[in-house]
Amino acid sequence: MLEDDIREVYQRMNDMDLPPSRVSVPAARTRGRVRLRWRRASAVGAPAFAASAVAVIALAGTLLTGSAKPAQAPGRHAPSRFSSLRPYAWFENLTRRQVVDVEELNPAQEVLLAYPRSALANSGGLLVVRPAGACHVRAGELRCSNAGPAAVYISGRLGQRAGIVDGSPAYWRQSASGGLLRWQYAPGAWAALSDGTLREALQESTQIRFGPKVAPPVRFPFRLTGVPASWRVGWVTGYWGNGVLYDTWAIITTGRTAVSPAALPPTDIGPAPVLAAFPLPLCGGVTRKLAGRTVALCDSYHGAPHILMTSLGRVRPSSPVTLQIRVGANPAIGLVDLFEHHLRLFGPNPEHWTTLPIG
Amino acid sequence: MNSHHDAEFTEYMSARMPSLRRLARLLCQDWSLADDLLQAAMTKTYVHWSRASAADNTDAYVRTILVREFVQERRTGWARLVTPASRPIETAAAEADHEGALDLRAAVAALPPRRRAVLVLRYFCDLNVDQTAQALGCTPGTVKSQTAKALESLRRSVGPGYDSALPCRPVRLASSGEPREEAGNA
Repeated sequence: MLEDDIREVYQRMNDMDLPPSRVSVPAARTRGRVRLRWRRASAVGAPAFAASAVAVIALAGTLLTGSAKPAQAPGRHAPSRFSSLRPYAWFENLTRRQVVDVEELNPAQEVLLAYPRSALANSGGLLVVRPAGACHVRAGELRCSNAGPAAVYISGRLGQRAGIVDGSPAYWRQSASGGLLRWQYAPGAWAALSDGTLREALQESTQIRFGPKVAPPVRFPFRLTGVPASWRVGWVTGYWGNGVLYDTWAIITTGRTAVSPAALPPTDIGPAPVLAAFPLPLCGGVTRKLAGRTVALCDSYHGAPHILMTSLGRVRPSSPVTLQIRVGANPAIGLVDLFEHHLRLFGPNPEHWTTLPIG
Repeated sequence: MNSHHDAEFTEYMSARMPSLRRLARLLCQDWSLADDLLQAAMTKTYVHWSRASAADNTDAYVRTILVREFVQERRTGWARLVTPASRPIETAAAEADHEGALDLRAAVAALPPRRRAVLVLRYFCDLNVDQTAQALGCTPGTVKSQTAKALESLRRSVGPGYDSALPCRPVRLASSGEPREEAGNA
């Protein structure tokens, strides 16, 4: 009977030797405590952010209308709303119509983005947020570890003192192409906002909020399975156009290798020319089917051995997903085959990327 | 959570880890996905550990969390990045299997999550209809209909005139006439 055969199949599978486990009881305890704190904080309506809970950024839509709250004058420091917060081990980082970098994932390796509810007028600013401990100040210079593609923005000389952002001293560095405003959004955790003028940057910075429930989070709809433990997502970049997340770019590092900055991200150029502007010409044009999508493969990118897989398809509604795998000087054998076998693409509907709550 | 609860939770999970991993693998048909699932279920169990440890049957309680997490996750299409292990992941040894059973296993793997869960609970965990319904949070009628649909789907998948997929039986061909390829992990 079929039922007996099913039992037999299950029993055979059950009798197999167990492979090494990736399940961690301590990690379950840690994440469980985070959830318990979140639930308690939500239950009492505490405005303060519970340690290790989700950190989100939202840019409200009144930046350029003049109604934004003016930055506080230097001098007496007003207490930060978040001065009592413990630095985040991970965070959410999002700006609309701007490229953001999410780096240094939390221990549970979750990547979350917060999508701001309100619209932001055409702003060319770039926001980079780093977690606590990733940056240190030395001799007037901000040095950030493993800064990835956004290194040019977040690291470097702090520049002059330029007011207060959310109770923390802010620093402005002017360059020919614009300027960079940097401040600590939580003790030991830095944010950098590039903009045309200091005034614009200060206006924008007052609208950047950190804390729970500021904006609904977005999950990246992909997962890595069956890859070596040393592989990790180095950073993720999201591209928004007209309020829609239309592309994601994840760089998976195969170890603690330095990665050269990727091509500068495009500003909001709308959905139509996205594929043309995307760095597809760097690929050799070899395509392969992967999880139902046509992907292009490259074996060289920025002069280093790479495998660049980018899905070709409609920008809307099925947004393309790009994975750039940088393998360093010693590429693993059969990387493409390994990813073909183990890569899973979940949640192909971009609508789900913006609405699902955190776990 | 106090240290006593933590110790209790750790002791329980460490002891149950092998069986829970096997159960998760039967649901997911893939070891990596199974570990992801178990990790998520374990976290939920920790959150509800007071209730779980006080339950009449803690094993059933935890199994319920695991199965519901499986159905919920697959239904909504959530995706989470895996938590890297402290050592490289090794694939399981190649199964000594038979092509006939592979057909059936591939057909099971192709079932929707709820039907797959029903089969695992009924034919691996040997739960009755009521127990299965409780684990899935649905009615006994739903369990019966899901079971019937799953079996019907399997019979269709492994081909007409299905006899048995166990050893010493001829290889079943897919409807296209091509030998069926094995699905799942290496």
